[in-house]
Amino acid sequence: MGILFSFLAALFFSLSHITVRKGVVKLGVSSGTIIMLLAGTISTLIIALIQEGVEILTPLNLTSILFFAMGGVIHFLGGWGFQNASASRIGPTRLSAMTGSTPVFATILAFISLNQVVNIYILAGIFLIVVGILVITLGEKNEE
Amino acid sequence: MKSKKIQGYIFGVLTALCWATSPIFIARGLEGIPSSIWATAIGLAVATLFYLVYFLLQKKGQELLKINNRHLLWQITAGIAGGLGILSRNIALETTRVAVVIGLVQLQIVITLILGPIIQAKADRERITVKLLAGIVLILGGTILIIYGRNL
Repeated sequence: MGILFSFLAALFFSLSHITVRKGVVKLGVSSGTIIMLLAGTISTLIIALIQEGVEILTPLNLTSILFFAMGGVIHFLGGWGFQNASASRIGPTRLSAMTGSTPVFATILAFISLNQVVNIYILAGIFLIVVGILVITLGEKNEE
Repeated sequence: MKSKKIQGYIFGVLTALCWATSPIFIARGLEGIPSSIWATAIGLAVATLFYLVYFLLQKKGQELLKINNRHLLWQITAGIAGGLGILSRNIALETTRVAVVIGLVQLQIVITLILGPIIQAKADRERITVKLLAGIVLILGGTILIIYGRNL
């Protein structure tokens, strides 16, 4: 099931990147982001209510809700805002490639916050991703 | 390279930074409320509330009235797909190791490369260059190495 949902996540993220480009170019980043946020909120709230109900939230754990809120603000407000701004400038394929640097940041954060060991494979992986990003960005410069 | 494009690449990397940071907070929240569906819904609702206040303070509400229905539908699709994407990822994380999920989610780059030209209109299609493909292969290769390294 986990593998299936990982594939579904990849498919949905990809669809989001492509469709956001089609919408945000004409709507602008501000209007595009608020429409995206409203659509995402309504759809996930409906799924949460149908799938799990409100019982799971009681007794109300404010610390957990605060962590969810902080995670949401960073992921959706920051992430989707930057995603819209990026998609309108460079398109979905290049945006997807840039978001490919997520594992690099995840590794750096794990190293800083959890003191996880960084080995030669991780360093080589980070190097390849950085080179990949440079090839895409500098390659475009040379082709213009 | 035009400054607009440079900004686009910087914003793309900042997107990745945000997406790498948020799971740390979500994981802490799940210790108290073990529901990835509610984690997504609450996170989205709070983010929407904050942005709605900013949006209205900027007096941009009028802009919404001038929106073309077709573009509105694309943006709604993007919002629902993005919400379902993070929901699927969070559900996957409940049963599968983080490294495997992160790796498989990176397939989005390849899927975008395939679906992009199909969904986008001919005029909007991106130029797929050899350097773009080479960069994507390097990024995917790097992801596989990181996953392997984190599993050791």
